[in-house]
Amino acid sequence: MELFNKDTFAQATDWIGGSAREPEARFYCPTSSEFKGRLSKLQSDLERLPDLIDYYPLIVAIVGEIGNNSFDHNLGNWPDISGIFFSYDTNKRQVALADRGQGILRTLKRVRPDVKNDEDALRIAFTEVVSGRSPGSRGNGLKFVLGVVLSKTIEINFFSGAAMVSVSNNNKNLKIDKFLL
Amino acid sequence: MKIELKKFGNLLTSRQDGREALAAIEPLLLNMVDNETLELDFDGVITFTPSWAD
Repeated sequence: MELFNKDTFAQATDWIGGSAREPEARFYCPTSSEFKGRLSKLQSDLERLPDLIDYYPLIVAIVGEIGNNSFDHNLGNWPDISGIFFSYDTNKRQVALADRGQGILRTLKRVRPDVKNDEDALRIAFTEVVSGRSPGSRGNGLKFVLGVVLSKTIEINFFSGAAMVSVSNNNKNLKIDKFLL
Repeated sequence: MKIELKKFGNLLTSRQDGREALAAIEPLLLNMVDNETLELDFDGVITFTPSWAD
């Protein structure tokens, strides 16, 4: 399995914090079609890991939900570079997803003008059935992600704007803090 | 009526793909008769998400 010289999270952070440029080709999914193709590869790679055999589809599912959210909520409105950074390291059991999109606060404000800040937006996104693309039957993807993380040995750190959500099976809490990259 | 979801792939994840799948089966759904049961067969599907289901 390919090993990264630099931590996959650090590479994702560098990309979103740096100037507007496409990430390295091996991490770049410019469209949801490419993302789906690479997600399928993740599924195949995780399927071979004995310790994940019971719930690797759930890992693929939450990666799919988060990645597709980037495309769905920024369609036609990418501020600069469209598409997402998607990388994983099966040896380290790490997956990194990143986008240079509008952020959850902006998309939620379309339907919830009362949302105050990035922390508030993340809390709503992970706990309430609401979508920046209402109406329609949508808005439960991150609730699903939260449910999976809390039920399995998975840790997630989710950043949007100046806030971060940390959830793990260990702490069983949704921890939301200010965070600046 | 039985619909085998594996015919749409074993990785069913995006809302867009779910919409396309619905468009593909809509003619079959419209031809269902009253009291006919719709059965969704998940055999062969590995990953399935709320977005596709919605």
